[in-house]
Amino acid sequence: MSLKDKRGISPVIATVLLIAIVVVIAVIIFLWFNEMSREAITKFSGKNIELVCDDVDFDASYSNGELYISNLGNVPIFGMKIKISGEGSYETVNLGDISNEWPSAGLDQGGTFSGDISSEVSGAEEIVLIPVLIGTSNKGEKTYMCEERHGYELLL
Amino acid sequence: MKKNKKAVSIMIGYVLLITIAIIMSVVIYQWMRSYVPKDILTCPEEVSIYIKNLECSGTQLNLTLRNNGQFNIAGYFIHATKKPDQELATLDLSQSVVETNQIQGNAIIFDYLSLNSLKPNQEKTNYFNLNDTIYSLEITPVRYQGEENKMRLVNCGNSKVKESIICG
Repeated sequence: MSLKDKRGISPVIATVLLIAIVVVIAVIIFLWFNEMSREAITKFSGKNIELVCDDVDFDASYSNGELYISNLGNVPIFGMKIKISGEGSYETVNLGDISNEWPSAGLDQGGTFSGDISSEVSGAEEIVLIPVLIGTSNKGEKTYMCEERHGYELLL
Repeated sequence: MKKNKKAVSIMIGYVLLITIAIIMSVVIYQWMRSYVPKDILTCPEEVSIYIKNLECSGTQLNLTLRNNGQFNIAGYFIHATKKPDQELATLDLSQSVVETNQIQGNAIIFDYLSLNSLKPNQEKTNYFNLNDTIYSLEITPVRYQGEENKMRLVNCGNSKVKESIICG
């Protein structure tokens, strides 16, 4: 068989196909990244809410069934999750669900909370208070629960 | 033979490469922009107040604060404990102040017409009508600080002072 009889794709078609595939992949990647950035929750003029968790500062204590919380920082704490640990298991509850004393708007600067949670933590060995913040995303206001490392540990 | 060889243009390759690189950099910038750390609004460490005088007369509490720091102060948060063994003060006394024109939110502002009105070495006295018996006080100074062309109230939690007292 001579070289002249060999068949192949025309270089022009190959180039067009190459460009088309690259453009399609680029669009797909762009849309994917766009979706990811749209889901980002921000607070305080565009700062990612995950970074804002580092700025949360609060104090807490537990005594005779009463939980006390004081917001010492400048980040409003919208909500609080309580991780209740004991006897090899744990559960996480929302403080606003177990206590009517939690303000609906959360704890602003200097805000405080005190409430009886003895029925929820009976038998528990420790609780971790994890702040929940509220921020803004393209879909409106959204809450964000900080990581446990930002929580406040209380031994019962 | 060499003159008849055909190939894809190198120029098209370069254009595609550069275009893709620019698109990717724009996308990643948009995504990472929110992760750029920004300076948070914090209170200077040299802010300090102390309780110069504390008098209890029945259910009335007289409180004199003195600015012994290096920065002006706008006001303070005041909380009290309702039980002798309570560690953290959570009872907000700001609403019990006699000078109701000084209440802003849950803070007591010395002069709402003048930002950070209490200068170093100055004193201010407030009176409170208590509804509950209190066992200790916690006072946290606050001051206005500028951020993005706005004045914001900053909580100076690190400068909190505590005092034991039974009153009310």
